Amino acid sequence: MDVLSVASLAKDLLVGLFVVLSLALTMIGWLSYRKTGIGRIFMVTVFFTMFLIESLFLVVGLYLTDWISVPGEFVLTFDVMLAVNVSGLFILYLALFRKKRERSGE
Amino acid sequence: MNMAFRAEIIGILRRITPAAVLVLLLLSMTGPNVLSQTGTIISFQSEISEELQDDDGDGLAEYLTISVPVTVYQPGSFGLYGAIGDGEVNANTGLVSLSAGENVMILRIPGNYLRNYAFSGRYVVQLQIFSDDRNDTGISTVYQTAGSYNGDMFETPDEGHRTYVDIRESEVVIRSPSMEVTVNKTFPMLSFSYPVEDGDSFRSTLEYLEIIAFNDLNGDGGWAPSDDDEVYRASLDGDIDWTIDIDLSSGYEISLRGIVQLKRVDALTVSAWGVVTFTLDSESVNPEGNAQKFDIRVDLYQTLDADHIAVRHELRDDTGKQVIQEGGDLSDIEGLPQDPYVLVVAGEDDEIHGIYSWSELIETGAGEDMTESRAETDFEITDGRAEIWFSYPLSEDTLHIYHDPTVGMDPRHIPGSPIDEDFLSNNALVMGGGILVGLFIVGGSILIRIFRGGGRDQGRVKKGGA
Repeated sequence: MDVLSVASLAKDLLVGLFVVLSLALTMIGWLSYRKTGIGRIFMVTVFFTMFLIESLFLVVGLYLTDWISVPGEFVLTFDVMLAVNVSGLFILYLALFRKKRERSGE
Repeated sequence: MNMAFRAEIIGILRRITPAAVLVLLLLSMTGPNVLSQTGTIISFQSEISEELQDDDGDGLAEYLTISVPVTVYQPGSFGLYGAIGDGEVNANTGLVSLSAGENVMILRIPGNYLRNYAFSGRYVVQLQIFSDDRNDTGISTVYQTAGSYNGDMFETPDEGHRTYVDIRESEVVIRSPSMEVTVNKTFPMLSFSYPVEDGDSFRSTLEYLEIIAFNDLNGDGGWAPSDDDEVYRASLDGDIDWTIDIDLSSGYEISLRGIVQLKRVDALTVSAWGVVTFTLDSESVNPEGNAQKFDIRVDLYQTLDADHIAVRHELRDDTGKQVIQEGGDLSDIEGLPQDPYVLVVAGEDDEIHGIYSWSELIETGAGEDMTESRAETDFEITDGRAEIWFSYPLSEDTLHIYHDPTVGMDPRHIPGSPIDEDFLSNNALVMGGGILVGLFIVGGSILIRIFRGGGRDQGRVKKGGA
């Protein structure tokens, strides 16, 4: 398996994770806002929604249509950017639990 | 009685003459249309057909493709030229090698030509078959398309399928899908490479250096400096005022022409004069665009007191990374003339890139009529360079010499280009796998949270109860 194939598979996996994490955070944010009515949480929810839109745009552009084609020479940049996005969302997702533990520890 | 009989004969003749003329006319129209001076070489068959070629599936055709079945009686290189209207729309196949028997020649008329032509209805196409034998005048037929078309049904073909001529300050560049040929405007030199961004990594150059008229003392037909008697010499890189003619009225025809002074070696004040012309034209580029024939023509102003005239030229690798080899496996390259003499410019692992090939068949003559003759060719190869001699025999009255070698690029080893760029493949199943992994993480964490939250609540209840 060549580098390009591995990079393609990594990209596909990361896009899947990106969709789920951005959707989960958007839903949690929306539920939190509904429950608390705090404006800051609404702003954060909008932020997560932007990521959800980006991930859906990637899914539609890459897998459902031919809107987006990633050139082979752009593979490293594309995968790194996607990995940074997914990592950021994952850290934010983990932060939800950490915050809960701290509160429960008080 | 005699008068009556004569009147009867005349009456019969009068009645049958129009019918006989009509029959002869029909026979002449339906008889075999053949290309040859001495015998049948090739003829049209009747089942010509056409279809629209829509490569990108957007409903607009990039080409009107006309399939012309032909019967070949004598194998050779043939081309098909087609014109619509007053030649306003035209296309040709270039020269292709056809074997004996039935063949189909495919003529592709670019959609942008037909779009600009803006004619609605059935096109009338003048079709002409030509050969690489300049003495053949060609055969032609007229085909009316079965379908009706209009300009709005066509679009410009993708850039990767067209041949362009780019006229620059010091050179002319011909770029076809598989090859780029650069013709120097002021010097008989042409370079050829792949038509891609890093095409210069495979660039080869053919440079014409000098012409020598000699007497072939050792009788081998070729120029041997130590054995033969040199009579005239002209350097092609000397004070020659080369002029370039570029005719783009029908495809392209690019000619580099120079008046050459052949100085007599034993009496430098005595000279003979002639014109040397190098020509590349769109009729000689093959359909795959990976080979271009070019004509070498020497026209002497007077006969020479020598029995041969030789053209010395050099094929070299411009990259310093390739070597020149004799021959190579080129049999499965479409559209490449199967010339008996082949030099290739090869890279690592003997991967062929540049191709220079020729046959020893030439044409010579004193006037308009040229006769077939045979040259003697010789070459000497060092790593990145080959010195090549084409020696043409001169008879007492020879004034004109014509030869047509071929330059080409091996399309099997064309490097990645912006046209054929590698894109990452998109695998929806793996993306679905990513979603599943994400759902597992999120779902798992929610379950853990519910489980732990439940445990804490239970603990609080227990603590409160205590």
